[in-house]
This record gives sequence, structure tokens and C-alpha cells, in this order.
Amino acid sequence: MSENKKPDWSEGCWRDMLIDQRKFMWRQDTLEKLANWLELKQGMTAVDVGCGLGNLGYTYWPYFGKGGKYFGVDKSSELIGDATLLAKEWAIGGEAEFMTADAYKLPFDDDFADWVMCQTLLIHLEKPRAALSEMVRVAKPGGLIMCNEPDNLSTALAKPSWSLPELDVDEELLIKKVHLISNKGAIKLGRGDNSIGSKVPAMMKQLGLVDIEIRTNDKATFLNPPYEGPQQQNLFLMIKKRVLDQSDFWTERAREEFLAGGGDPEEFKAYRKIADRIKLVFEQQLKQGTYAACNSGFLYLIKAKKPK
Amino acid sequence: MNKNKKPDWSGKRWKEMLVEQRKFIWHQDTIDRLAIWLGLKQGMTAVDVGCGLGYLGYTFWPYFGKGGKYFGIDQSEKLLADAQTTSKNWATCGQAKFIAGDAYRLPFEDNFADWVMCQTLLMHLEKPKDALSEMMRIAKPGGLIVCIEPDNLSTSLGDSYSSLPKLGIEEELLSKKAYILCNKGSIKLGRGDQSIGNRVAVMMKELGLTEIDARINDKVYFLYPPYDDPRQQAFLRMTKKRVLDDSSFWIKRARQEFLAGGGTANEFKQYMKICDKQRNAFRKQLKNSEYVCFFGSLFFVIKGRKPK
Repeated sequence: MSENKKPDWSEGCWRDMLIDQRKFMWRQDTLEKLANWLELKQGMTAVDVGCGLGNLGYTYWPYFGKGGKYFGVDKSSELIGDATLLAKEWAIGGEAEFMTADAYKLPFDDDFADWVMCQTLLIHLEKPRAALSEMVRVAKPGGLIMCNEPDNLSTALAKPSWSLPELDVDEELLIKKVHLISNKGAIKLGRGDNSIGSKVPAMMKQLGLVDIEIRTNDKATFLNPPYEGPQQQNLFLMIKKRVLDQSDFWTERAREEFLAGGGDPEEFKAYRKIADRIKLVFEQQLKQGTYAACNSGFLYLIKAKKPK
Repeated sequence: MNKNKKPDWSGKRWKEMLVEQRKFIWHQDTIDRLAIWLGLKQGMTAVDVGCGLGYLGYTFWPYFGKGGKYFGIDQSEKLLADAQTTSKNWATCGQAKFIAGDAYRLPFEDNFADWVMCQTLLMHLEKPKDALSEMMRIAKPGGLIVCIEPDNLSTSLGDSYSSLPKLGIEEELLSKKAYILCNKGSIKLGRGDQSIGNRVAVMMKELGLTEIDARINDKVYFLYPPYDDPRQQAFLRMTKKRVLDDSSFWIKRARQEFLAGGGTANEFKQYMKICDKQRNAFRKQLKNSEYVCFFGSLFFVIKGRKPK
């Protein structure tokens, strides 16, 4: 379990996520709007905590990279190695540096950066508030703090995709119960809080940050047979991988979390029966290419300033 | 019940929604981006079905109104009269006309308009697909269809942060059951499907529309004391009105829907106990300026084209 507890983001399905999920995460016109909304400026000094392969760096580079400095921090030295290589392709006109470090003890002086950011970092941490507070420490007075964090619990609790079979109300509620209890378990196991996105603004408020504002990622994807084009293909393959190939892995994690959250093993079995039934239909629809759904979730972009 | 079934949108409570909810419904830069994404052009002929006070007309007027024609259709003559009067203030350099009509039988010939749109219309209709098909009929071949519709059921089922006391798991599940049953009941009673937003894209596909794509409104509300900007004030006013002042009206509606959806009277009582508890906590926190609430929602903008 302790292996599961701290995923190794440099390999397997975790690394896949860093690549596949980020390919089409934002619409280009949204990024431009956000750069404006964040008031990014060329030449900024930026720190990206839990940077992975440097996604936020290369995504926002056009808006701050000219004469800018980007510091990517991650605990995985393998990812840092890869990110450093990749950066040669994009970090032009400024500097990008990657270092291995802990989100709770960032290797920077107080008041160091104009902009401190993270994306899907807090969601995986045992002490998200401590990490946020550490981000605040390294930001300059008046500096920008940006957290891109989802509320995946709410996404999971949302109405299921229409093309899957309609469930009885009791079945639907059992699934929701498993999501709710598993999330409690994930928090207990130190795996993080899946609904962190909706909590970050209140945490920022408690930490004394000002000018707190939030937007949702406005991306929705209409996944639609025959799944043409790179974006549809990417999403289709991601779903397929998760639902079919990696299903045992995710089920085992969910079971651990459900039990840790105080769930009853018999209930988990009942839940699996329903889930397996849906999976069969899903599998069939994916194979036949009949699955269609308008996909979106709750991915929040939260910004705030450190007081002057 | 029959009176409830078809709300009179010119009546005080419903009309207020048309005014209050729309004040801060979008970020201005989002509207700018949407206008580009939709490919709006000056001089277009546009039809807005269920136009209310002409909100979509004046919101998008800067992008199509020069030499453009806007036709607002609504059931309510009173709203139309108000809309016609206020349109004098915004419909300059083009024409805005408001006509009483039925969403299922629009008063236009086939292939009439460059752009046919609706906002929070389909969610209130008994036969949303028929209405969508009627919108398609009056669009020119190659014309644009835009539906702005929420998935309010998914939003309700989520687990967003608020400062109200956390419910126990069984209470939480009963609340979720109530949302699900009320929506089933609402559909049965012909009051519409609260989760329509995530189905529109698929309906469009079934009707043969092409180039279907979707986005989410990126607006998020974060309410915290002292609630001192106008957006927070407006949101707080709306929440207060709904939860406190008008609670008996909404409870009555919810009860009808809950029972129609297959719930028992006893369960509804249990659910009401939870609501009362939360309402009292809300009242107390407001009084002490302690209430904090994060509200993100799934509000879809779906576009498609009528085939040429």
C-alpha cells in the first residue's frame, strides 16, 4: 500500500497522465485570455511546484519567457531529467531550470518569485495547506499565486454520461457513496483530497492572500464517433486505457480508499457488480465506436496575490 | 400544480431571475472569445428562442448588430413589451423585434436565419428535442445553432466547499437522492430536465447537425465576508432569496417533483429536516458574517451547424 500511497510519477499510468491529459487540457484562446487575466508579463520570475515535465512552463512561456526565469520543482529526479532535456526545445529567450525538491520545503529564499504556481499538485498532498503556505513564502510581496486544481469528487458525483445505461436510483446512490467514502479514505491515507479545487480559495483566504479570483477551465469535449482528429483520438484512448486496460489497478486503489474511509467490504462488492455491468456496456460501446458524450469536469484556476 | 408547471416568467419571482442571474453571468472577455469562436459577423439575422428580456440580444449585439436583425421570441407578451422598450437603448444601427411565439412552432419560414439561439430554454421544456429541431428548421443551410444550457443536476450532486456544517454520509446520500428524484419528477411533470446541458450535443448529432462543439462558462462564484464587491452582493442576494425568503415556494415545487419522481412522503420529510438544519446554519453564519461558499457549475455553450 505504501507503494500506492506515493505514486511514482516518472513511470506507468502516472507518467501517461502527465503526457496524455495535458495535450489538450486547455483551448488555445482560453490560455491567451488567462495570460491576460493573470497579468503575466515578459521577464517574470516563476516557480512551478510539482512541475512534472514542465507543462505550465511551456504552456505559459510565450507570455512571460522573454527574459523570464522559470524554476520547475519536482520530487522525481527522473522527471526533472526529462523536463530539463525537453526545455531545450521551448525555453528560448529566457532561462528554465529544474530542480529536485520537496513541496513543503522549497529551495528558495522568502519573497523570491513574481509568480508561484502549481497544477494538480495540492490534490495529491497530505498537507495541501502547508504546501500552499510554502508557495506564499517564496512569492514576493504583491506576487501572484496560481493554483490549477480540480474538484474530481464533484466530477465523479455528477450525472453519469447519457450513453451508458440508466441505473436505479439506489444503484446510483451506492456509486456516489463509494466516491464519497473513498475520498475520505484517500485523505486518511495521505493520498490527497480529490475535491481540493473547491477548497483552495477558502485556504487562500485563511492564509491572508488577497484579490482571490477563480475561473473554470472552459474546455468541454464532445466525444463523438468515429472520434476523428487528434483531440478526439487522445480522449478516446485515455478513456479506453483507464476503463479497460488499467481497470484492475484503479479498482484496487478505490477499494483501499473505501475501506480506509470506513466503508463496508460487502458494499464494495455490491458496488463492483454495478461497476462491472457498466464496464461491459462501456467496453462494447467503445469497441463498436458508439460511445458519445459531452465531457467536461471541474478544473479550477485560482489566482491570488500575496499582500504587500 | 398546473400553474406551477408553466411558470409565468413575467411574474415577480421568475422575472427577477431573468434580471438578477444575468447581471454577472459571464466574464466580458469570455463573451469576446465566444463571439470569435461562434464566428459571429456584423449584419447577421438572428433568432433568440425564449428570449425573455432580450439578454442574448444585447449581450452579443456588439458582434452582429451593425446592420443586423435580432428577433426575440417568447411566450410572455409582458416580457416582450419590456424587452421591446429596453431594446431602444441597445439596438442601434440594426433592428430588434420581439414577437410572441411558441418554441415548438416558431413564426418563421424554413431556412430563415443565419443564427438561431437559446439560453436556459431547453431545460424548462417538456420536449427539448422538438424545440431544437424547430430551431434547426428555421436556420439557413450552413447556419449556426447555439444552445446555452446548464447541467444543474450535476452541479447539485457535486461536493463543492461551503462553510456549512458537513453532513453525515447518510444525510448527504439522502440529499443526493432528493436531487435525482426531483429531476426525474420534473421531467415527468413536463417541467424539464435540469441536466439537459450535457445532452444537447448528442441531440444535435441525432438531428444531423454538424461541426458540433462545446464549451463551459468559466464563471465561478466565491462568496466570503464581508461580501463587499457588487458580484458578491448580487450572488448573496440571490442565495438569500432562494434559501430564506422564497423557501416555501421552492419546497412546494421540490415536494411535487420528489413525489412524482417516485420518492415517499416520509423520505421527503427526512430530507426537509436536513434542509432545515442547513438553512438555520446558513442564517446564523450570515448573521455572524462567517458564511463562505464556493460555487462552480456546468453551464454549457453548445454550437452546431445545419448541414448545407
